[in-house]
Amino acid sequence: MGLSSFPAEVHLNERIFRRISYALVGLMMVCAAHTLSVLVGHIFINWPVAWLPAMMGFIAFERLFTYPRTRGLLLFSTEWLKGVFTEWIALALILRLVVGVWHGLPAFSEQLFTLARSFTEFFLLPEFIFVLVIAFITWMLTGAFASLLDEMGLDRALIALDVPTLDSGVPHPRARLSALVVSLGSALVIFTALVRVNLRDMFLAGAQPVFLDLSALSGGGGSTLLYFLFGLALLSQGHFITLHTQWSLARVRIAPGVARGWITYSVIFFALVLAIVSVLPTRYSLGMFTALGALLDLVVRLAGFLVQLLIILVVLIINLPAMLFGRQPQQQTQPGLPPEIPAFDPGQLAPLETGGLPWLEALRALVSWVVLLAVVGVALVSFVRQHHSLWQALAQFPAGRWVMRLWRWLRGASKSFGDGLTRAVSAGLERWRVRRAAVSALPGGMSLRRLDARQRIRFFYLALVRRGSERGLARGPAQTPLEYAATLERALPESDSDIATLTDEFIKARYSRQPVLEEEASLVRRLWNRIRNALRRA
Amino acid sequence: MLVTLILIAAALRDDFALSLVYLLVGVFAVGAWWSRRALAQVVHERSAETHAFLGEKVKVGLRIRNAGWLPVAWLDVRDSLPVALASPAVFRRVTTLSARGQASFEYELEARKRGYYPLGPLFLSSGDLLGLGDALTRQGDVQHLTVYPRIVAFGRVSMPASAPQGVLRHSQPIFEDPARVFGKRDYVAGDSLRRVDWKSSAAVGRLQVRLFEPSMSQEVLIVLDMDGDHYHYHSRIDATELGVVIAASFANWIIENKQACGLLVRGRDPLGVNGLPQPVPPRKDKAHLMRLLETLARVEMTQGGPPLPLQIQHVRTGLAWGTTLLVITGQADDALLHELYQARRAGQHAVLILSGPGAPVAEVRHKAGFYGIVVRSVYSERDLEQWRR
Repeated sequence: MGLSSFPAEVHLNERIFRRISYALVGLMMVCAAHTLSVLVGHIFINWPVAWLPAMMGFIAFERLFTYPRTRGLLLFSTEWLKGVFTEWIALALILRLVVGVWHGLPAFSEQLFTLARSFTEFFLLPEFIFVLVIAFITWMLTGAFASLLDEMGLDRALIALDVPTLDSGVPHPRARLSALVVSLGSALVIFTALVRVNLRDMFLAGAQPVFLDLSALSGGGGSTLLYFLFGLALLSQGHFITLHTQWSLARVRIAPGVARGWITYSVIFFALVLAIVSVLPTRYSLGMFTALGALLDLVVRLAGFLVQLLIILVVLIINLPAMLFGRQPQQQTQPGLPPEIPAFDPGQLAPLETGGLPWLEALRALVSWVVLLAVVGVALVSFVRQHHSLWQALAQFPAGRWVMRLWRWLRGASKSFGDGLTRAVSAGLERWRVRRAAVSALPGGMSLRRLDARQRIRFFYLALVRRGSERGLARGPAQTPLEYAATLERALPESDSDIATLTDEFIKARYSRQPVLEEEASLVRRLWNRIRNALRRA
Repeated sequence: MLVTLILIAAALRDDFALSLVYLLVGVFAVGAWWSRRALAQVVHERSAETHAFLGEKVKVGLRIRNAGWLPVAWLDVRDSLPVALASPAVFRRVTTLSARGQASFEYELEARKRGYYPLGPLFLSSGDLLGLGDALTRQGDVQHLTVYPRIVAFGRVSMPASAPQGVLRHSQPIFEDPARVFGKRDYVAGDSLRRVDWKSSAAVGRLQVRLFEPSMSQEVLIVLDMDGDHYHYHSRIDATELGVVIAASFANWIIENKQACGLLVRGRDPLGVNGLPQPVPPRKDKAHLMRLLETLARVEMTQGGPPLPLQIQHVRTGLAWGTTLLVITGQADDALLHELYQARRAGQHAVLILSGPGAPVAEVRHKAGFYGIVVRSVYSERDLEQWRR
């Protein structure tokens, strides 16, 4: 079974997948380089690192371009070494050229003179070595991404079919791709976090860490977020090609539009997620994070206190024999006195100065808490759903069983609450529809206020019939008003006089030409209210 | 990673990490919601003929429609098919459905073997775009296709019958049919005045009487034994299938000749009460033939159950005098022959057809001869040629 035996759609889908995936990998590398450049610029102010993302983008795309040509070569074989060596000579020259041009053409021409003096002085420039290292890491990472994407394809699956032991024991390429995306992303999150700390003052002046107030998208935040977005899109493509390979191997015919539809729906999907993320509160969550941060500080300080206490005890035990023999202990500290716990600074919990109305701020904070708890809840539920075995293992312990009972109770309660709410809303809507239909059934579809006394009496009588039918006392098609009144009176003996009066008023309003007074309509309204209450109790 | 991000957000008092948390959880939550919601809104419809004759090709159409506004990124459509009608036994396609979009598929089944076959269930699988959750699957309904058994067109069948006033010619003049006039002759003393043809007499000038052709009505109850134990163990499947072909061919021939035909099957019917086929009383129209063929299409081989002689005894009491019992089986024991003999004594006829190879024809014929029962042997479908036109 060769690749040529598969239909043209399979090859087309694979080509689309490769192009999109390679573009995403390149963009991810650019984003990663941007975050790194922000951190480098944050530490070394004089380094012109603005070109770094573009350079790493070039390295990444160059690697993706050359990968298909070198993947067939045996690692560290002569051909491979020749190819890689030649490639890196060219890349190093290009990078040196770009690093030289960073400081302007005059500075670069001066540097060119040093080349005439000393080759090593020209090339062992710290900035160039840094860029070279980053370029190498980018080259390696891009190669790793390309290799994993290659493993997901149909070609590799066919080889694995022929040689089943080839990939045995190795996690699925998609799992390794996820791990690679998350690992690199974690590093970028740390870089982005470091950008938010005044590192220079901290390391050079030994000051306490000062957190810089940067928006979510500045200071490398935007590029890190974009990296994750592109990474998720790459995982989506990886999922597609994994399914595509499975379907192709099973000889399932795939509709021609699936690959393109996948891309389109991925774009819609991520746009939807981004839209949701953009409207969720983050600024107003900072009060919450201040509280969490203070709590974290307290935990860290308590841990420090316990460590100090432990050290004192150890020192005391070590010095105890010496003290027994009448010698002075070497340690000058007083072992009997424990260290002081650093004071907890409640000022850290001070609310943010947002300048808005106090109730509005409180509402926003409340919303942010609810959203965060919902996020944690969703994550927890998803985790539990994915790890059934862990859940079953937990159920073997009493605490685990208690948690499961609580969980079941919460699920049941939320389900019954949801069902009840749905029923109540449906019943309300239905009642509203019926009332609306009753009003519109009146002459001219007029509202109750616009009706005259005669029409109002008819309306209340029709309301009586409708409510009666809802309570199981439906008026028969052949029943006269008086016969129906008798039916109602049997069911509601306490309201028999009200029912009789209302029916008489209706007969007068409906079947006679006698004038109907406003007082009569008001009386009918009162009677209807009393009968309605009686019907509710029945 | 989520916990790490929340701790980073707390440690740095920064909202960047929170945005990332929202992004990751949002992707998961929206993905799960999307895939569930989208799959729930997919509706499907299968259109296919419910009956087919042997050798026909049956086209099955599948229409999958997205009734909602959420597109379905991928949809794996799997329709389970009977092995006897399709190879491979599954129809599988992968498609995508836009908002309010639809996809139609068509496949063909070949009615290669009689039977009552399930089409489906249809499985629809989908999932999120990132593969974070398991694929979701919905199971659809099952339709059924009945493939009628093979029918051999008979032409020259002689079957004992004695019920008068039918449409078939009879050799004994006792069964003269006043509706079947075949000539006239001069009146002789002793002729019934009811036979006098007054118009002809007036035209000829002397008394003429009508001559009637004798006729018989042939009411037949086909008794098909599908008990595997009653056939040779090497060929019980082929022999029972041959029995079905014989029964269907006789039913067709009888009803084509405007005679009444009933059916009693000792076997298993998937639609029968407790899996047992219901006896079909003799009738004589085309719709009744289709009913017989449908029953014969569905019946399957069984083992055990109520004995055939007992079933015949229960049914034959309701049959008319002169009815022929056409029993198709693999062997005939004394109990069956005795029951058929009792039927003869009650004025009915019995024909025994031994189906399939391995039937003890000589032995049965010897015993049946003692009871006066006609025995025929059908070794294979080629032997049915003896009754062909």
